[in-house]
Amino acid sequence: MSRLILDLILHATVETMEMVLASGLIAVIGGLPLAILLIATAPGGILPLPAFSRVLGLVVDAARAVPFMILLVLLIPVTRLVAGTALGTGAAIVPLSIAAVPYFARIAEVSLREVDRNLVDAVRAMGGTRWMVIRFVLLPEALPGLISGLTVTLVTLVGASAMAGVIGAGGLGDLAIRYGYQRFNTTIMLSVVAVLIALVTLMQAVGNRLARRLR
Amino acid sequence: MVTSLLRVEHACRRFGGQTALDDVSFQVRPGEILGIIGRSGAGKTTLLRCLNGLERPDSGRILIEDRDITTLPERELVQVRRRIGLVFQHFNLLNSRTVAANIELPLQIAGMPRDKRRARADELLELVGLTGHADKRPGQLSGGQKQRVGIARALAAHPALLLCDEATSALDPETTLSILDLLRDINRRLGLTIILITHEMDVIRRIAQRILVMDHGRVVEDAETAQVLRGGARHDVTRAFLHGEAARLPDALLARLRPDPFAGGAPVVRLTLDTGATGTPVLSILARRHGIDATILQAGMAEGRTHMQAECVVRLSGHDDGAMGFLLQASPSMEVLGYVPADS
Repeated sequence: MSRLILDLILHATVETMEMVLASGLIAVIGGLPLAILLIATAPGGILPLPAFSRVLGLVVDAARAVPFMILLVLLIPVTRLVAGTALGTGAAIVPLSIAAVPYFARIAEVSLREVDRNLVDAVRAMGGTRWMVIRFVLLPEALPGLISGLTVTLVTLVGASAMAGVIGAGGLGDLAIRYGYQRFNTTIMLSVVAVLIALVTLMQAVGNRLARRLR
Repeated sequence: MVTSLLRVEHACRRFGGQTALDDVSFQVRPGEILGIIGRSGAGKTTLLRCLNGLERPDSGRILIEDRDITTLPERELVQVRRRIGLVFQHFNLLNSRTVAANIELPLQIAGMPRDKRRARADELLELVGLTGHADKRPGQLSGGQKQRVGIARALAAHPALLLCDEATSALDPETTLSILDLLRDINRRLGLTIILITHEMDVIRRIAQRILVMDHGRVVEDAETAQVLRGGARHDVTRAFLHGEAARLPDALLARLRPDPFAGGAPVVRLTLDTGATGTPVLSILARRHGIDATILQAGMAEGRTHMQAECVVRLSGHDDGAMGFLLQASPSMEVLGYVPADS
């Protein structure tokens, strides 16, 4: 393998990591509060608002229902507005984040719901406020599940970021399409696949380890 | 002046067509141990949830230290809740925290600084006999140790009242005894008022000074435990709890037992006799003074709050009003179970 190809792959990997980590971070910042809101306002939650909870759930599901490929194209005007351009790694973070926030919200919601209700009641009965229930019970008790959920989200984002390559986002997907597919460069195609497999395996291993240590 | 720590006045609570609390009234005096017993569905849990303000009764008042918690807004209710320590059946400890951090939780909720919290946690760990376990996780402890942590946590914020919800129901008999001893010790040493909610008469017999029996959402009995154990129970449900735990009679005896007297029939009675300093040789006196022999069919010991009691089922050689009067005096809870042919 030539030095040039190696540089191309290395550069593309860094770009992919940028996209995945940035949108992953935004997924947590946006998705976690959304998940807490869904749990808290659900019937029997710490702040029951059933109508609000249902509407919020619908919005989250609507965002998740649109296939990422279509979302990419659909969001081009929004991307231009936010990033100033629809091309490149930075621009791809916009649609990736918008897809990842509701995705992670639903996954985090499941982990939060699995926290023993009696623990919530116990802290309420001790005179804990709703905020204390979230801080002392829901988040720490659900942490291992949240870490696992984040791992799944990041792995999904690796795949999605490759798809963003199709509309000129850069990263490993872009490399595979332009060199591997359009120029019939099998070496690059196979290398990209190998890097993707290594990347996903590594993420999953780190995630599993973290989650296990916290359990 | 606060004469009663907790006063419940005519509390009612309904869920749909189900009445969970039906005109419940009682008082708790400072420093006493009150046992509330009832079958599942008798309204114990609803009462508990009303006492700590997790639920509001439909009508009636609940006064804690003379403040009516049924009308308090949520913000002030939080303050009242911090005056009540809760011990749960399934411990409800946070696995994400160490033992010490679990005990510190109520203090953290009350906004106490970290170093003070840790000092208090160490104090409490010593009180419940878990010194050296501070940095373990709840998952590393046995059931009895977990409940000790639960008790330490409940005591952390210096509560005025300790509410124990089936605190020993998930524990084996031996651990149950050690937890009950710990609660009694805490009651004595700290003068802390304790309410025990349970379905086990043994728990009440061992540590409660007063007993409240609930049935179908009503309080059917409110009496001194000693009085109830001596046979002063007024309600059938109370008697059912008392006898429910008495050993079952052997089947061979039950088969021959007839409810009414007949010629040549010997009465079979259940006696609960005091032992120890106040005990009298009841069966010997019966034989000497009344000329009636007693054959022991079944016997056992039961631990009362202050002393041991012997519980026995005996067959008497004859039926004599004087003898029965004497037995009733020795064992006010005496019960004639039936009659068997004298030769058996």
